[in-house]
Amino acid sequence: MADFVNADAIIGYKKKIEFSDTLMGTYVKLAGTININLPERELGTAETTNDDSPGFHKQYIPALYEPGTVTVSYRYGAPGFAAVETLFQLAAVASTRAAATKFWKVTLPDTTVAAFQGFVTRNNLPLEIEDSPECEFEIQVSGAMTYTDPA
Amino acid sequence: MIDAAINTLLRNASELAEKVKPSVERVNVVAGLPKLVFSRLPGTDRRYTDDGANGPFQARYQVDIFAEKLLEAVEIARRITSPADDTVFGLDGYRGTVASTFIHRVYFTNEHWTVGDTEVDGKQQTIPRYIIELIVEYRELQPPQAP
Repeated sequence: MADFVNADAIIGYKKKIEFSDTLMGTYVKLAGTININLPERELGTAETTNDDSPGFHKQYIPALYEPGTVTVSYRYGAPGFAAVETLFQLAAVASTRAAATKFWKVTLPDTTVAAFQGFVTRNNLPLEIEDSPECEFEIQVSGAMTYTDPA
Repeated sequence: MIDAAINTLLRNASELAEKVKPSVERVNVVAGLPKLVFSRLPGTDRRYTDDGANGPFQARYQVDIFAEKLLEAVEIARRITSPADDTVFGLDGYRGTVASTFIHRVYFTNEHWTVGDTEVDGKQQTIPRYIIELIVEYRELQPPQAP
């Protein structure tokens, strides 16, 4: 790993999230995003402790990865909310359930790309009396997330 | 643009017309009363997203009403803070377009009064002042112009 220099540092402004029906298809950007939280992934463990485990220590081997969830907040606008709501409702009908899982791409301001498959599991719209609505939705990631460094 | 919109709204609601002034002007608040002076307060929220500052924006204003008698200032304040509807041009809950600015809502957060001494030509004069604070949610319909 190369030494970190300040020129590598970024702020989150100008990131974007897009989705597509297919990996190489046309990606649709969701406008007005504020925060995008990539998943807290976790590698599970399987215990292999036995009577021959040395030094009075338990033993483990790696198990499966939990891919986690992605949360996205965005400034409310009817077209944006409708787009997410459409994704959220795909699993409600038998004929579109398979289409609920999309290919997602999050592009960081430095052009790093996080790509994953997933489906929308939550879509909310809080309406506070004295504030501009800020919506949030959640994507359940399915399978591995890949990172591609800046070109 | 938002300052111009507030100016217009306050002139209409207060029925004071040209006696409404922004605080960036030098205003004599002793003679020719009643007068109304408005100031933009710190705390404007521009609300950024990844696509830029596309709002809606939020701005805070203070409105100072100077009058010969406190009751007169209170009456003007009541006109301004009354609900916006078809029969009364109050600003509470106002929604509409003015001065190339779409106003989502106006609401009042605070009001109080004072009868303070003001020095005029070396003499102390007592001038009643009624103070209102308001918040406006808005969206500029044209890019802001240089002052």
